Amino acid sequence: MPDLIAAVAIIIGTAFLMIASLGMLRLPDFYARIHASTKAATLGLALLLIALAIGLRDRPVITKALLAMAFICATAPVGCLLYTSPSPRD
Amino acid sequence: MISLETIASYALGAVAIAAAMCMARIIKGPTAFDRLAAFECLILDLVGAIILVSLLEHTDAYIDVVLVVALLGFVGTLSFAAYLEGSLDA
Repeated sequence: MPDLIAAVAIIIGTAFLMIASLGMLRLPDFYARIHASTKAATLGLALLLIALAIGLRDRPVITKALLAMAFICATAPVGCLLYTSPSPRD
Repeated sequence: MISLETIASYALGAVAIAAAMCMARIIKGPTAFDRLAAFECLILDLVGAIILVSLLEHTDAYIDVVLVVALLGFVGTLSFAAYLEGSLDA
C-alpha cells in the first residue's frame, strides 16, 4: 500500500514537471512562462520528494526530504519575484 | 503489480523529455530573462531526475545531492537576476 501511494505520487509529480517544462516551451509570454515554471515545477518536486520519503521509509531520508521540500517551496517564489521585478526589457 | 523501480525508470524518461523542452527554450529564448527562467526550470527538472534515480536504485545516498543542487540553483538564480538587473555593484 505505501508503494502504491509512492507510485501515484511519482506519476503525478512527473506529470507536473512535464507540464511545467511544456509551458516553459510553449507559452507565448515571459510572465506566462514564469508562472508555469514556478507553480507546476514546485508542486511536482514536492510530490516527488513525498514519493521518495514514502518509498525509502528511512528516518533521515524523511527528514531531509521535508527539509528540501520546505526549502524549494520557500525559494521558488523568491526567484519568480526577482524575475518579475521592474527591469528594462521589452 | 508493477514495481516502484519500473515506474521510476519510465518517469526518468519523461523528466528527460521535460529537460529537453527547457533546453529548447534556453536555445530559443529571445531575452536573457527567458533563458534564465528556463535555466531555473531545468535545475528543478534536474533535482527531480536525481530523486527518481534515488528511488530507482533504492538508496539514500542522493538526498544530500538534492539539497545542495537546489541550494546552488537558487543562489545562481539570485546572482544572475541581480546581475541582469544591474543592481549588483561589482
